[in-house]
Amino acid sequence: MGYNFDNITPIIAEDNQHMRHLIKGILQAFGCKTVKEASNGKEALQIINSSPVDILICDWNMAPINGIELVKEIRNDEISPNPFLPIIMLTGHSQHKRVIEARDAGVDEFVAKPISAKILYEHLKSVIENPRPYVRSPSYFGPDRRRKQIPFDGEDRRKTKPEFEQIPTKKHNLSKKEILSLLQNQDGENL
Amino acid sequence: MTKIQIFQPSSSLAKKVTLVDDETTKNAIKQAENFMETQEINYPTWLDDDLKNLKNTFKKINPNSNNQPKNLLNDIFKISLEIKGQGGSYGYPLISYVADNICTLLDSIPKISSKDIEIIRIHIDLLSIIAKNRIKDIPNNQKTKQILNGLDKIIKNRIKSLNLST
Repeated sequence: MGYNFDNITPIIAEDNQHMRHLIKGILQAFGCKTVKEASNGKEALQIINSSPVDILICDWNMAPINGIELVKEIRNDEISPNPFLPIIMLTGHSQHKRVIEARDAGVDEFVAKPISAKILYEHLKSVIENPRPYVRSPSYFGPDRRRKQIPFDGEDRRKTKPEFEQIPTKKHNLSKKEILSLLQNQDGENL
Repeated sequence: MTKIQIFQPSSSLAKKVTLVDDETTKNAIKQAENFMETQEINYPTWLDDDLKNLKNTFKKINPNSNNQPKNLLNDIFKISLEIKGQGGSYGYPLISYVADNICTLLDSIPKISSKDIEIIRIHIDLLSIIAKNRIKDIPNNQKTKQILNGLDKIIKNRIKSLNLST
């Protein structure tokens, strides 16, 4: 089963106009009637502060206000209109440390470019079907980052030597499973 | 004692969507993929522009120096990241594959040496060849596998030699 997104209003924060156009077209194909656009974090904040949006899809590298700063503003600013806004970070970054940084800023989902329609759909579906509890601690506000045991019927890449056949998923890149694990990968003391 | 609150906010998204059957979902994804394909036609021009930009920035680097200006390295990283993100999204996965190596190297090594600059040069040359020949997919043959595996090993060994991890 899937979802009809007719009534969802996403906002795309992406500095590359071609990529923005591509993501917008994908979302419209999914049924979104209204898709808002911003070319940087500052513009995105202005739109979010002035009109209702249901989900943010944001790039990392933008100026002024990059994706990480944008997520932190939405989650932590006292005048944020929706600190619980679902956020999908859609970025060229795919390294471990970047996923951790995005997670600690408060993203719900992390998607590494290049993008595919199917993967973006899956992440939208995940935000709807698996909303995480929120955590407020002295140092963090956002989706719960604690590890969850998620059944996985695929190959455990930690136990096998990666082979060339995994192209285009490379050995120094993270799989979807690994990214998901990192997004929810902390024990209680670091909520 | 540290005060930690955990709560489940009501999901506004779930309230706004309606369930549809698998066939409708497949059609929506197919429609999105069709849209993406229509955008591929313009990509080679954008790629050429990005590569020109990348080469011009790289030219400003002194290949023999072990002390490269940070702003130049940042620019090379950002352009490579754009190329990586766009390539596969517009039907050119090999472009993304090679550009990703540049990103991994620059994102992993705190101090770039002349050795790293040479590795980046090789990757930029390869990107140019791929772009010039409009090679979209990753050719499924032994020679390509060896080349790409070789490049991966260069990156991996370089990072490993500095006791760094990706």
